[in-house]
Amino acid sequence: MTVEGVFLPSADTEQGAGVHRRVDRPSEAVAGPALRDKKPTSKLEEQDGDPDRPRAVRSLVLTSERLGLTATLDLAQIEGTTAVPVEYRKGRPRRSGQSVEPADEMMEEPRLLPGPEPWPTDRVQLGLQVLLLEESGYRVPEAYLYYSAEKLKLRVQVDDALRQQALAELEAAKRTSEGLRPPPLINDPRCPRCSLQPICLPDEINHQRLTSLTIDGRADGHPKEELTPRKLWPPRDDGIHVVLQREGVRVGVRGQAVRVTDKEGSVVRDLPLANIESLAVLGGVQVSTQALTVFADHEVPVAFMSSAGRLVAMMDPLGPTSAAVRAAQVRVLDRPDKALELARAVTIAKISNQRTLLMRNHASLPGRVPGDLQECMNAAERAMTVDELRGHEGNAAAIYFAHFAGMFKEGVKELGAQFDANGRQRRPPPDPVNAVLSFGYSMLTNECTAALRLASLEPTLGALHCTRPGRPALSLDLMEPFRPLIADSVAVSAFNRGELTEGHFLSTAAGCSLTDAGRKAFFAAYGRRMDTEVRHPVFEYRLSYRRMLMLHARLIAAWLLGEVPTLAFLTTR
Amino acid sequence: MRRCYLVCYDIRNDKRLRRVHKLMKAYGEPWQYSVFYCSLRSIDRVRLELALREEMNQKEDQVLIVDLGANEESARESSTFMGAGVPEAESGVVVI
Repeated sequence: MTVEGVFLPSADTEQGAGVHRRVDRPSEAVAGPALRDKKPTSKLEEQDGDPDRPRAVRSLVLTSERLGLTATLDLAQIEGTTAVPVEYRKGRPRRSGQSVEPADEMMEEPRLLPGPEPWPTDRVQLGLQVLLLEESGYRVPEAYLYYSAEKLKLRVQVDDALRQQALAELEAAKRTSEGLRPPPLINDPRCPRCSLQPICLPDEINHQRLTSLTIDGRADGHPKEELTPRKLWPPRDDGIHVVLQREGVRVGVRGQAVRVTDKEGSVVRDLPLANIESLAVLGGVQVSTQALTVFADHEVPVAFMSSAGRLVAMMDPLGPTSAAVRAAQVRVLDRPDKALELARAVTIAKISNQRTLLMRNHASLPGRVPGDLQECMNAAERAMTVDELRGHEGNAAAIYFAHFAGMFKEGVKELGAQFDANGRQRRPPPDPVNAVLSFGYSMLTNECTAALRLASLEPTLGALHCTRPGRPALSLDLMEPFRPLIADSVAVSAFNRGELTEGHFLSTAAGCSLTDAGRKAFFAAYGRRMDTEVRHPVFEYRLSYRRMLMLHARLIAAWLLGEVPTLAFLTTR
Repeated sequence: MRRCYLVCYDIRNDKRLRRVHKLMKAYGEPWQYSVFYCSLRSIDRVRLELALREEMNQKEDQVLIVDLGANEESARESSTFMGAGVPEAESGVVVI
């Protein structure tokens, strides 16, 4: 990951950064004794005239061409020609008999066992620092590790064993970085607290590698018991998703608090930035540049949409995206067989979910419909080209929307009848049901695009949907299985519960659209749906639909990289 | 996973007080003067502590962080307001 430059901050990395904040303030440059004569002496030395006075140098950067290595030493105590490196760590040292690092202050204090010793990784790091110092001409008699959680300074013996170990690890690291990304570790105790875990998905990927899956998520082979994924993902991110849609609203920042003001300039709402998970801006809303910068700094994605919900632009932080994933995406989706595989997986999952939704909510579904949809699924399974697949997908959609109105309850039969008369129409939507479906699909596309960007994928290169300028084809692919689960289900339940009524719509010659109040009501229902938790049929843990989207985007990325042999998308029963 | 915290502070100097107050507004809702209610991911809790450490004076000021647990509902229910102004809860989707 480091080789690709992928990095995610986590509580642990931030803590480490805090511990390093003091030690990382670079101090005055010192030259190695070998270079001492060529360099002008620094001010300090002129003042006291004693070049051999011991001095602590912070953030000393050393490079060795011979080793192909650059390191930043946290602190080096330099006295004449001897140097003693000190490496700061935020955690605790290893206690004999322990295999994993104990949890931090938030958990209970671990029992302190005798004999603190350095962790092997820390030893290697220090060993490399010793080698670098020696290369630049210093004598290194000893080295230290400072464990901040226990305020403990450990002395490390500098000997040949240390140098050998460090060199061996360096060579191994270079070999690793030359090849492709190695597969994730299996059941490693270091995974749960690693900040890169949501990118690497060790358990999920190993689970999929070891069981080839049938389309409906049943495992063919029985996975070994210990390979059921541990629930490493945080189950909920209870942040707030802010949607701004009132005409003339302005968004600014005061320090790092987000302030929303209306046309007259009076404050509508103050929101703490730490609570905001995402921001969607619809229509004539102003966002200040300062606010955009702060959102970018805190990795809050901002989506700009037209008032009808069409995604116009998206601002997501220029985080480190993995080029390896994108290269793999271009390579793999260029192969017709692979593109067909992805297209087939999303199509079959979508038809399956359409069938489930009808069977659950339709009061009097004609007996042959489930069979017909099953037939479409079987035909899609056998399709030889993507075009053929689109045909089966179209057939299934025709059957599904012919019976869609049957899911509306007594009070809203009239709306259902309107929808029945019009059928599913998009540009423009002629009736309220079509309007809500279009709006819901737009929102879902935006969520999918954001999820793909987070997984370092390129949203415009898809498989089932052809690539056209400005069309997020892969987002549409990823969204297919979720259309019935999220957008359709929101439309049906919002009308049935009376959350959306005739009064929420404006019918004009240009079609039917949602009013301000209507959009508000829609977002309430939509937000509830997105936060609903479902059990993943394969991994067996519960995630909200929003995180399901992210998980599937990451799994597509893993499949493109060849880490996972088959694709399976979420289907519900 | 977010946990809920009550953050209270005593700052003895006006300039630092204003800065700490401004900082706190980025992390939570003001419930009273110098009492904030925050619902934070573990990473934000670490960031908050580091930022507070930068702003406060370790010799004169004091900050108290009370952990109210992971359940937002029970955290809010376990606090009783008397008199004026009960702040409204925000969660899920906020539409403006």
